[in-house]
Amino acid sequence: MASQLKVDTLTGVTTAGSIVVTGEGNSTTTNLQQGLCKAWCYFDGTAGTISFSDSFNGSSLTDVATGQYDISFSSSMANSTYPCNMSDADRNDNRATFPNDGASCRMYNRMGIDGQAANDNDASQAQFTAHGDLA
Amino acid sequence: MASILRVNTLTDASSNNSVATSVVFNGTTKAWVHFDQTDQSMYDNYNIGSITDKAVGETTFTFTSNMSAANWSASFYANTSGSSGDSQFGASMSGNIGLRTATGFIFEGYNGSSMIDSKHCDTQVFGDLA
Repeated sequence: MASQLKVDTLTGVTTAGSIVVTGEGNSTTTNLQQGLCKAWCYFDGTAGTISFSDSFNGSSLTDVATGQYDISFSSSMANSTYPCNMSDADRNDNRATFPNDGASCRMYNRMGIDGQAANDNDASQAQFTAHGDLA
Repeated sequence: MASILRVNTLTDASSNNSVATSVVFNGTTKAWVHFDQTDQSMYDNYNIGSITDKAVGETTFTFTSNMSAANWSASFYANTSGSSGDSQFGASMSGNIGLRTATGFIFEGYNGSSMIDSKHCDTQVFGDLA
C-alpha cells in the first residue's frame, strides 16, 4: 500500500542524529545522516560580484582572489576534515579545495595542466559539494 | 524505543516539497573518505572498513557494508599539496577509481608520468547497497 508521511523534521529515536535506512538490495543498511550531501552550490566565478546560482547550506560566497573562493555554510560542519570537491567547465584547469574550518571552505581553480603555467583562473561554472559531519 | 517506519513518500507538514523515499535513499552517499595517501591515514570516512597501501599512488579500500554490484559511481579528487595555496596542485594530476567491486575499490593517483601519493584524497560513492 502506498503511503505518505508528512513531516518537517526527521530525528532518530535512540540517537537524534542517526537514522538507519535499509539498502536497495534489502540486506544491508546505511546511515541516512552520514550519507547526505551537507552542502552544494553552483556559481559563476567570473562575475564581477559572485553569488550562488543555486545552493544548499551555503550562506555566502566570498571572492578571495582570482580563481579563489570561500563558501560559508549556514549550518557548520563538525570539523575541518570533511571531504569536498570542486568542478568547473574548463578541462585545462585543475582544482583544489581546503576547508578553512567547520564554517567555511576555500576553493581554488588554477590553470596548470598540459604544460601550462600554473596561474589562478576564474571558474565560469564552479560547482562544489561537501560531505562529512555537521556540527 | 527503536522503531521502523515504512513509507513511500515524504513531504513537509504543509504537503509541500514531496519526495519519494526511493529518491532519498538512492541519492544518499553510500561511502565517503578523505585520506592521506602518503601515510594511509584517514582524516574522516563513512562506511570504509579498511585502508591498505597497495603501491605508490595506489590505495585499496574495503566497504563496511558492501554495494550490490561493481557498477556504482564515484568521484575522484587528489591533491599532492598538504597546505592550501601551495603550487603543487597546479601540476598535472589525474587518476581514477580502479578495480571497483561490490566490496571495495582501489584509489589510483597519477601525475601525468608516474603514479604518485597525494596528501589530500577524496572520493564519494553513490549506488545501491547490497
